[in-house]
Order: sequence, then structure tokens, then C-alpha cells
Amino acid sequence: MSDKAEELARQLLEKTESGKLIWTFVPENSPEVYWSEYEKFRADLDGGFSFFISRLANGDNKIVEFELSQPGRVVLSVQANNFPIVGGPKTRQLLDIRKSQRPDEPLDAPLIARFRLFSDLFYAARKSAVHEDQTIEKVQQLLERLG
Amino acid sequence: MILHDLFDWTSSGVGLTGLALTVGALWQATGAKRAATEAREAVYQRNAADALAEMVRLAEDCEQYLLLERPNEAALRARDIVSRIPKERKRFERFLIADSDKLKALEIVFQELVGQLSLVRSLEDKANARSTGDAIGRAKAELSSVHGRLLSRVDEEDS
Repeated sequence: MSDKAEELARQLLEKTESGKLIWTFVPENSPEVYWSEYEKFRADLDGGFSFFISRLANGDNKIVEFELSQPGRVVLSVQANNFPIVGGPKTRQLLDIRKSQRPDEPLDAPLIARFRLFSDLFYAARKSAVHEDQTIEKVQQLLERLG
Repeated sequence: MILHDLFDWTSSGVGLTGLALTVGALWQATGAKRAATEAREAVYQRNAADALAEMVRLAEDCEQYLLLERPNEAALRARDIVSRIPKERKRFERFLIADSDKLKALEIVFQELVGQLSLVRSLEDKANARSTGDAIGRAKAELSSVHGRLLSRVDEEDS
């Protein structure tokens, strides 16, 4: 499931960065995210399919969620977070052994890679939404005309 | 008369034996001192290698925290390296030889990285984050090569 989500996210990132896919901002005012920094963006495809990318941030802790849905159901929903590995001296010892066996591969490489992919898609979606949405500029011009 | 001569010879013999024993003890003490000095040097060199290994680990953490978008923690590691380099350079100057200057240059690099990592918003830009990550990667590789050279000197001493 997460492999398919990553593949889709990779394609979406490519299309978003090349300007072929446009994202829009989705307001979210639920009490669950009241004390957090929350942003959600949406891109619609033909056939009623929609992609969502959202980020919930509390200080440096971030959870990025990628979702594919069609009317009435969520097809895919995968999360990635940036929580570092924490543990006591025993965990550290075990991690050091693992590291000495495979020195070139970071301990949590797949997790970091997924977080990076989703986060890059999130920033690309935000950039697309902000650049494409000219509403704020239009409103400012209208206000200026009012004098 | 014979008894007197015998007494003289015995005294001379005892004197010579004492002298030989003293010379032997002195020779052994000199050897022991040299061995102790060498052992102490070896321990210092190991300590220098361990200090460098710790700095390489901090640089790895710094790189990983940047990938995880935790710039505050990455900056903390970079700052830790900046504060460690002058101390370790002074402490292990005679083992570092030419690498002492390299460490000085790395101190400046990590100082600049601390500045870049504090610009949290600018790291949201993919290109900025990538260039900062590359800079950390290069600095980590430099630190790692200094560590490698130090280890190879330790191995040469051991063999």
C-alpha cells in the first residue's frame, strides 16, 4: 500500500513541479488541529479522483499525510513523520552494531525517504496553490480601487 | 695475610656486583619509562581518534536532522562541533599535524552552517535545503577523512 502511495506521490511531485498539476488550499477548522499548524491541499483529476496532501506540525514535529479518494471513499491514506529514533543506551548500542554492519545506509533510510518525498510534495503543492490562486491579488486591487 | 687478602677480594667482588646490579636496575627503569611514555602516547592518539569519531557522528546526526526537517536539532549538533574543534585542536595538536589547519577551516564551515540552519523558513525551499545538506555532507566527509588519517597513524604505531 505505502509503495503504491510513494510511486503516486513521486509522479504527482514531478507533474506539480512542471506546472501540469494545480493544487488548491483546503480550509480545515476542526478542533483536532486547533492547537497545531495545519495545512491541506487538494488536486482533482478526471473521473472524480482527488489527491490530498496535508501537514500537521507541532513545533519541529511534523506528520505529512497523503491521500487518494474518490466520491464516497478513501482509496489510499499513508502518513510519514519526522520523529527521530529515540531510545536508551541499550537501543543506542543495538543501533551502533547495526550501523557498523551497514555503514553506508542510514538506520531509518526508508522512513526518511518517505518523509522527504511527502514533504517535497507538500511544499510543491503549497507553492502551486499560492502561485495559481490570484484571488488575494485581485481583492487587493479591488480594495485599492475603492480608494 | 692470606685472610686479609681474601677479605679485600671479597669486598671488591661485592662492590662490583652491587655496581652491576645498579646499572641493570637503571637500564630496566629507563626501558620501563620509555614503554610507559609510548603507552601514554598511544592512549592519547586513541583519544584523539575517538574525539574525531564523535565529531563525525555529530555531523551525521546534523545531516539526518536536516533531512527530517528538524533544523533546530541540526543546528545544535553543528554548534556542538564548532565548540569542540578548538578544544580538540589544542589538546591533540601534535597528533593532528597538518590536519589541525583543516579542522580550523571546518570550524568556520560549521559556523556558517549554524547560520544557515537558523534560517528555518528558507530551508523550506528545496534548493536551499539541498545546498545546505550538500555543505554538511562535504564537511562530514572532510571530518571523516581527518579521522581516517588519524586512525591510520594509530595503526602504524601499533604495528
